[in-house]
Amino acid sequence: METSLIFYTISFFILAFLVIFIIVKKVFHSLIASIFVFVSAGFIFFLLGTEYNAIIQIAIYGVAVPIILGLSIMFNQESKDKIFQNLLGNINYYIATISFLLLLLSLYLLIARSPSFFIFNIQNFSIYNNTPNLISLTLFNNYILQFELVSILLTIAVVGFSLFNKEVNK
Amino acid sequence: MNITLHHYLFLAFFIFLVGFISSLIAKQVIKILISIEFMLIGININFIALNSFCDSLNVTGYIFGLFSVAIGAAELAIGLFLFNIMYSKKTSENVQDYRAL
Repeated sequence: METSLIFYTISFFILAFLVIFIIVKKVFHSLIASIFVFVSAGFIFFLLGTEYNAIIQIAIYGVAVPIILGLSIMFNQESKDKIFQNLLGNINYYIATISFLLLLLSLYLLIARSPSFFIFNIQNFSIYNNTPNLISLTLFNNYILQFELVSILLTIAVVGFSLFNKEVNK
Repeated sequence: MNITLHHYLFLAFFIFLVGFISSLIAKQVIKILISIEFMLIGININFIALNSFCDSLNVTGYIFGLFSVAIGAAELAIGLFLFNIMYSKKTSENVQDYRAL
């Protein structure tokens, strides 16, 4: 599979889910659309030859951030009931699940029938084969001060949360 | 057909534009926060694409992308925390109700 085909497919997914994100009125549905955008951006990073950034992008924006956002939406009592009504009572949920399973089945059949289609021919950007190793070496040699500053910033944010929460509860 | 730098830059510009417009027109606070993350993703794609195409000997753009992800996640967490505190007082998701600081 050529790089151009992968790029156009991922870009189409990103643009489609961005449009869905804007159009949809419920926050929970726009959160689901945003997860697809975040994960697709991770694949774009993979295409650009940075597996390290791609994994970080998918782990933080594709998993951790949606969990925080989902918890925040569930804490809001107004939207909580509506989400569960939509998930359990609406027939669209079952149609979406069945179509997703059919999509997985068709993907499996496509891979089983023509495995040569899925041999990726990705453009090689870096002259080094081991990009994560190079990133860590540069990070800890040239950017150690910035790295420590970011870690201090994150620590201050966590400590500030707890202190601020105490004040609010008082 | 080869994918050039311009393709990635156009994609990043479109993601940034959608995030910017969505942050202006959205009414829910959480949607605005996600839109700001979209803008950051557009910037990240710019960093990484420029590093990959223009300077493949160094990894400065990749490292800036990592810093951007870390700071963006912290910013989102702070924004959500403030929103939850304000929500407990006003019980409204609409950003129009939070005009008075």
